[in-house]
Order: sequence, then structure tokens, then C-alpha cells
Amino acid sequence: MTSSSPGSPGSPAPPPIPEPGFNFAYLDEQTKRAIRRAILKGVAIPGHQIPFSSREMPMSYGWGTGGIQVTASVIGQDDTLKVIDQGADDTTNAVNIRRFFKKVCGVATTEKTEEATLIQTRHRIPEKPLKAGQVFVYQVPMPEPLYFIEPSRTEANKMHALEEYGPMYVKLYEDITKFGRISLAYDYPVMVNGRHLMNPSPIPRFDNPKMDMNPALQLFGAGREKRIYAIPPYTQVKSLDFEDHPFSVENWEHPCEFCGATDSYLDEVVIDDQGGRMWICSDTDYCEQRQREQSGSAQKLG
Amino acid sequence: MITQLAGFADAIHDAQHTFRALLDALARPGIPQTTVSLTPPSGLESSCAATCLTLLDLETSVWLQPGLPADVRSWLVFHTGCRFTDHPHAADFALIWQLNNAPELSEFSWGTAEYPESSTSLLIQLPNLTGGEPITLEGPGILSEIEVSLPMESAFWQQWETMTANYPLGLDCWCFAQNQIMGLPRTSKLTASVYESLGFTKHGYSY
Ligand SMILES: [Zn+2]
Repeated sequence: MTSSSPGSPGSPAPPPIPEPGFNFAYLDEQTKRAIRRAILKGVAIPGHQIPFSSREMPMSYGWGTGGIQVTASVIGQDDTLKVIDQGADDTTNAVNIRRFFKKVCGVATTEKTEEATLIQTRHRIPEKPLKAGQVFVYQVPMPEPLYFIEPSRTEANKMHALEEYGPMYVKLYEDITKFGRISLAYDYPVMVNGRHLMNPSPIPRFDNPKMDMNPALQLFGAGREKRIYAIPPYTQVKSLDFEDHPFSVENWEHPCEFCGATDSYLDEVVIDDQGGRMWICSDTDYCEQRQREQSGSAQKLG
Repeated sequence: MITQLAGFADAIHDAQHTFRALLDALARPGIPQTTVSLTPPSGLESSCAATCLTLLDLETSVWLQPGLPADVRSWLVFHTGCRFTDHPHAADFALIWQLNNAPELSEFSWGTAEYPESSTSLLIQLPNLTGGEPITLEGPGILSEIEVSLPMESAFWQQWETMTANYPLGLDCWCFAQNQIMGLPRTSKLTASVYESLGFTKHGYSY
């Protein structure tokens, strides 16, 4: 098997479509078994990173090869797959990954969160609450929360073993001293099951509370860093904070300008070349379903 | 001939289906899951045989509790290529068919402080997944708490209680009966009321 030449994330060249004759879900059975064993260990030790032998995939690392390998090891013929990138189902990355799995598995796909049995995501958790039985796979660029404190993997492993997380609190508190608040907007570290410090991948901190006691199974795959970890359903996930500076999420002064939602994560998007801007839901499925419901009820009223 | 004993009817999709059952079992401790049916060699429960085909290969070492028919070993070698060890502590997977005569939990590997995942996974065959003294468990994967009545003696739960006090070190188990699987990850702890009712002593960690 060959892999595409490395390109930067988001580079225009789409991943080549695998040739016919590949195994179901692309990976060979031996590779799937090794990844499956790592996933099971991850579920047994929530938030703890399990090393695995990441394989070459027919796309470069920025495309989310870790998440793709996890999805490929979990997916079955009966699954309905949803893929989102920054909340949207229709970006190049999401479309290509969805197309890839359609090609190598022939599975059903959907854009509706509630219809999916398996969801692969880059950088968002949907607004519609996940359900028991769903599997939610995150693409992770950097799994190690201690990396910027301790770049040596061996040393970071020791810190996790000793539950030596003081330096992480010190780092966050330096933010408070400097800025008056914790400035981290993405990949805000969490404690899982009261024991393991974990990076939630670059989701906005707005999404952090959704991880806590979630009925779905959450799996995390880091391809370049060769790590897999997990949060089982109904597991405590707590964002790090301080008594005098409790954790809080972003909020906006205005609702979504498409659907009027006041409870969703908003992106500021440029709408024309005159510098016009709008605040709209980052979760396109949520926004479109709300708009449809509103036009439906408007028709009923009329 | 042993080599004529079939494995999965559909190697790829049956393994995937069984993996999801194992995954769900571990993610939702105490809730039974169903595997695909297959004709196992005498001595193996169908669900345990499916698990072996799904998880074992050349990279895994297996400890078989003595007393299993020789066909089991040949079947595993033929279908998975797994290696065997005589030392419970050195095994990635331990296949237990008589829990009451099995080594104590402390004789298997609980992993290391930095690599708690390098522990032994226990594959425990039971006559049924019910019928024992009810036990209440709590922990990840369990909303509030769940009652199970696995047919295990209180000595097992006493050892389990000691083990879970050493988290993240520990063992993860799958229990098998016919085509059913129940997961028991190291995070599943006995609730306080259970170990008191069994007359256990507390191991110095707070609930
Ligand atoms: Zn909206």
C-alpha cells in the first residue's frame, strides 16, 4: 500500500481514493486487532494514553489519520457514519473522510447527529446531546497535556504515573496572574475519572462540559503521536480550575443570525467581500435542523 | 481433525461484531452483550471462542488454566497463531474455565505504574452470567450503580476489592457464558454497602 506525499493540513489535494480490492475498512485484520486491543485498554483506564503502532494511511497526518484508524477498527456494516470538521459536515476534510469510508466499507452515512451510530469529529462536539450506544471518535493532533511542561515522553509518563499534575495547575495559574483569567480557548485540559489528566483535542472549551457523564463512548486517536485513549459513557470529566477562578465557557452577546440559537457555539464568518460578517452556529446540522423546524412551524401558522 | 473445526463463518465481519460486543461490555460493565454464534471446540464457550479469534494473534501470549481439552490449544494455534506461557504473570490474556481453582488475582500482571495497560486480561468462562450473590458496582460506564449476580464466590470479590484500590493498576475481565459476554473493567468498584455486607475490611481509600 502506498500513502500520499505529505502535505500540510487543509492542503487542496484530496486523499486518493483507495483502489478496489482493499480489505473492509481499509486496514488489514492484524492491524485492526492491535488497534482494537489498544482501544479496549483505553476504555478500561479512562483518560490514560495507550501507545499503538500507527499505520500509513492513504492521506497525510493532518487529515486525522489517528481518528481514521480508530474509526476503521470500530466500524461495521450496520453502522451509520457522520463526519464533522469544526462542526460542519460539508468541509473538504469531512467530505473526504466520509467518502473514504463509504468507498472502503459501503456503510450508510448521515449528517444528522441523532441518526449516526458512529461519529468522527475534528474540533467539535455536536450541540444535540449524544446518546447511549453512539461511538464518538476524536481526531487528535497532540494527546499529551504535559507536553508543553515536559517535552520528554518518558518524563511525562512518570508524571502521569505519580499523578504529578501540580505543574499544569501552575501553568494555568500563570495565565490568571498575567491576564486575569485562563486564556486557553481550545484543548482545555480535563481530569478524567478523578485520576488522569487528558487533552480533549482542540475542541473549544465551550464543548468541555459535554464530555462529562456523556452517555456515548468517546474514543481519541492521535496518528502522528501514535496514541489512543478513551472516555467510557457516564464518566466524570472535570475541566481544571481554581476555587477563586472556576471554569467557565464562552458566551455570545447575540444569537445565531441564521437560526436564533442562544445555546450553541458561534463562529464569525465573512459573508461577502465588503467585510460583512455574521455570527452563525458552527454545528451546521444543528443550525439547519432548527431553521427547518422554524420554517415548518411558520408554514403551519400561515 | 482439529484443523477442520471452523473459526468464524465470516472472518472480517464476525470479528468486528465480536469486538463491538467486547467494547460495549467493557464500556457498560454489568450489561450482558451478545456475540455471533460459532461452533467452538469442546471446552470453550461460544462467546469466549469468538473473543479469542477477535483479540489473539502472533503478538499475544496466552495462559490457559490447566485442564482444558488439548483441542482448545490446537484450535487457538491454528486460528490465531497466539503464543502460550505457563506463567499467569507473563500472560496478555488468561483463559479461565474453573474460577474457583484459578490463581488469585494478584498472581496475574496488573501492569506497571507507567504502563498500567501492560496487564493481563482475564477471559473467565462461567456456567451462567447470573445466579450468584448480588453485588453492586459503580464506576465509569455505570450510571449511578448496577447490580450483577455473577456466580462468583465472595473470595473473588474480596480480591477484586483489594485490586481496585491499586487503580490504575489492575486487571480487566470479560465473563462468558454461551453467547453472552459481561465486562468487568478495573474501574468497576464494589459499592461501600456491598463490601460491608460481605464483611470485608476497608482498604484505606475513600469513596
Ligand atoms: Zn444557527
